[in-house]
Order: sequence, then structure tokens, then C-alpha cells
Amino acid sequence: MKKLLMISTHILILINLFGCGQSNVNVLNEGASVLALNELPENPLLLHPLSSSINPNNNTMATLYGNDLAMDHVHANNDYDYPAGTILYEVIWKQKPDSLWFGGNIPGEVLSVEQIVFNDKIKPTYKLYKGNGLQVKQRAKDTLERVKLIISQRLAVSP
Amino acid sequence: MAYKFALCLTLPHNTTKMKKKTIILLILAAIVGLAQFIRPDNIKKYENGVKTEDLAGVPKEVNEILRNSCFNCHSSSSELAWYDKITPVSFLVASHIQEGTEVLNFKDWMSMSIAKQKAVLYYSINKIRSGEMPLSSYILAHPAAKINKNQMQVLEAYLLSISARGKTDSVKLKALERDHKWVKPALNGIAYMPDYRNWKAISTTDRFDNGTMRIIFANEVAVAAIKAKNINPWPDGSVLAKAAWTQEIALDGSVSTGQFVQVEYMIKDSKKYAKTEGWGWARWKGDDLRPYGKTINFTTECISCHRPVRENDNVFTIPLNLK
Repeated sequence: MKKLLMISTHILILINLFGCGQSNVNVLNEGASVLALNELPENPLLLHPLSSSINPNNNTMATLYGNDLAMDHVHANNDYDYPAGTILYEVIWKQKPDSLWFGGNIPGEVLSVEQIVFNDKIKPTYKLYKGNGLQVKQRAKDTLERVKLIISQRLAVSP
Repeated sequence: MAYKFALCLTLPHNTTKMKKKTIILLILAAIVGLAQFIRPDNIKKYENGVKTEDLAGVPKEVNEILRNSCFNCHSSSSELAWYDKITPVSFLVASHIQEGTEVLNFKDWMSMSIAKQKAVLYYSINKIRSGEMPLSSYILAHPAAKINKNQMQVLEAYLLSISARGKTDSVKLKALERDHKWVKPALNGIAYMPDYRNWKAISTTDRFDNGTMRIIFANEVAVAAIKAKNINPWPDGSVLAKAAWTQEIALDGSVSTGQFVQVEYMIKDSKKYAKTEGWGWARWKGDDLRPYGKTINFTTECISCHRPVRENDNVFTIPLNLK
């Protein structure tokens, strides 16, 4: 009996050691991050998150980011007339199940980054970064539609 | 002669009557005088109360009308007339104030949300319109409190000006609401942190189990910890804020953020919050940001739910690498 107790204590200690070793590993969602800028002018994930959306048909999720001008604008106005100098990024991820919560999905790999820059011209400029390393796509399709869709997103309103 | 006789007879009689009257009057005066020693307990509190400040964000003329006609019974300070302080009138006045402040006390104006303030004003104006307020018995003694047509128009015009349908107004209201002084602290004393919308997003979650979507924000300390890959344990000073919205589903099936549900915080301070796993826990629900829970023990609920991720310093979120 005593022996059994000792063995089980040892096993417990081993489990604990193993557990501690694991807990020291810092888990970041690297796959969903922009680890190298490559052709991107900046890391959009470091800007202000304005809104979030999900496309269950494609199993994707997106966050709309913006610079300070964008943030100020959406907090004070309800229109889509962003001032010149506004930069928006729509980052789209493939969804993956949340390993820590059954019933939730979190961002998986980054599928694309779309950049919209408002300048003095009537039409804002649109750029699509896609694929491995998020290379800029020269011939992006449905550009106008995408711009419309992205800038029509409303701020996720909090009191 | 007969007249003289009659006079002689009546004089003493009249004098007694007058004396009687005087005595009764004197007794009454004495009773009233003595009664002045018996005064309602709360009347002193009301007459010496701190003057209720003008209602913030409300035009001067609206303030004046409300102060003049409502504050005496609907605030903690009353400007009483001399006759209000005389017993037995003082008892009537005190009960009016007692009942009035229970229903509505303008002293609490600053602790009301903008939406609540607006609701209070609408409630008040409708009471005035129906003739219920100010009480007719009160107006009888205080005719100056009666709200005339012009004053009514001022109140109505003001309320219409803050209730215009359309985007500009709701946005203005939002701007005002960003002053969050009215938000009550959590039951464990943690104060609301309105700045989280300026923090960086470290992840988003699609919680299809309960139809919500979340953005998880982190303060500068927490973001620096992520950059340094030093999040197990998270360093003291780290704050995570998880804001949840309902999922608004469009015809094509796409989902966007709908109604705000709640924001919940984890505040790392291994010493201060040693008893609650090193984290301060707090949650505010709904557009009126009600602190969550009924007792201070609400944190046991948070901790037990986060128990499965104890190995991750009790944090469910796997942060994006924000390098």
C-alpha cells in the first residue's frame, strides 16, 4: 500500500513537472499574425480595431482596422466620408476552432489584407495583399465592390 | 332707561365672551407655539441640505424652471418658505419631500446615464402636462411654482432638440456618453475602464455557441508582454478587455457586430489580487453598463469558468503576435 502511494506520488510529481514545462511555453497565435511585412507598408494588426465580421459560408472572419484619423471619424460620425489621410485595412482570416473553448472559432491563417487609402481624389485607392507572404495583387477583381463593402462597415458600437 | 339697563346687563356678558375668545386664542397660540418644538425629523435636513447643482448638460432656462417648480420636493435641498416650516404645515411639506425624492431626486443627476437623464426629463414633462405635477396643493401654497405656457414650451423645445431622429443626434449622444463618470464600479471595487477601445486587438472570437462575437483588447503593458512573448504568467499591470456583441446576420449569411452585450476585464496584479488567482475580475453588461453580479463573490464564477485554462494563467485568449 505504502509502495503504491509512493509510486503514485512520483507519478504526480512527474506530471506536475511536465505540466510546468508546458506552462512556460508562451502560446501565441503565430499562424494568424502578420510576422513579416514583405510588401505591406505597415502591420495592420497594430492599428485600431473598428469592427469585426464573419462569413460562415467561407469559414472566414475579418477585422476592420484603421489609423487614428479613421478611429476619430467613426467615433464622431455615422457616415462613410472618411477624411483624406484615412487608412483602412480589412484583414481576413480562415477560421479555426478555438482549442480552449468548444463553441468558438478564432482566427487561423491570414488569407488577405486589403488596404484602402483616402486621399484628395474622389475615389480612394485600393490594394489587395494575398497569398503566401501577402504579396500585392496587381489585378484585383471587383475592386469597387470591395471598397464599397469595406467602407460601409459600421463601427462595433460600445457605450 | 330701558336701553341703559339693557347695556348694563349685556356688558358683563360681552366681556366674558371676549375673554373666552381670547383665552381660546391664547391656548391655540400656545399649542401652535409648543407644537413648534415638534418638527419632522427630516425637515431640518432638507432646509439645510446642500443646494442641488444645476443639471449638467441642460440649458440654463430649463434648469431654472425645474429648480423653481420641482427641486423643492425632488432634490435633497429645499428652499422652504417661512410658512412651510410651521407645524403642522411642516409635516405635510416633509412628507411631500420624502415621497418626492423617493420617486425622483435630481441630486442623482450626475450618476444617471445620458439615456436615463433623458428618460427622467420625459417622465417629468409628461407628469407636468397631465397636471399631476406640481401637486395642486403645493401650487396653492406656492403659486410661483406653477409652470406656465411659456415655460412648458421651453421644456418641450429642449426635449425635442435632444430627441431629433437621425444620425447626428445619436452620434452626439454617443460623444457625451464617452464621459463615463456615471458607470458604477464592479462589486469588488474595480472601476470601469472606458479606454479599452483605444487599445490593440489581440484576437477576435466567433462564439457560435451563444451567438456573440468578441474583440479582445489589451493595454500597453499586455501588448509589450505579447511582443516579448512573456505571457505565462502575464506581468503585473496587464489588462485584457473582452467586448462582446450579438451576431447580426444578413440575408447572405454574413455576420457583423450587432448590439453591445458586455465588456469584461482581467487586471493582473499578483499581490493585490492574490486571492483571485492574481487577476482582478470585472464585467459590465448592456448599454447602461451595469456591473455584473449580486455580491462580491461574483468573481468565484469567473474563476471557476476560467479553471480549464489555469495553465495559461487563466486566460482563454491565444493572442496574435503583435510584432
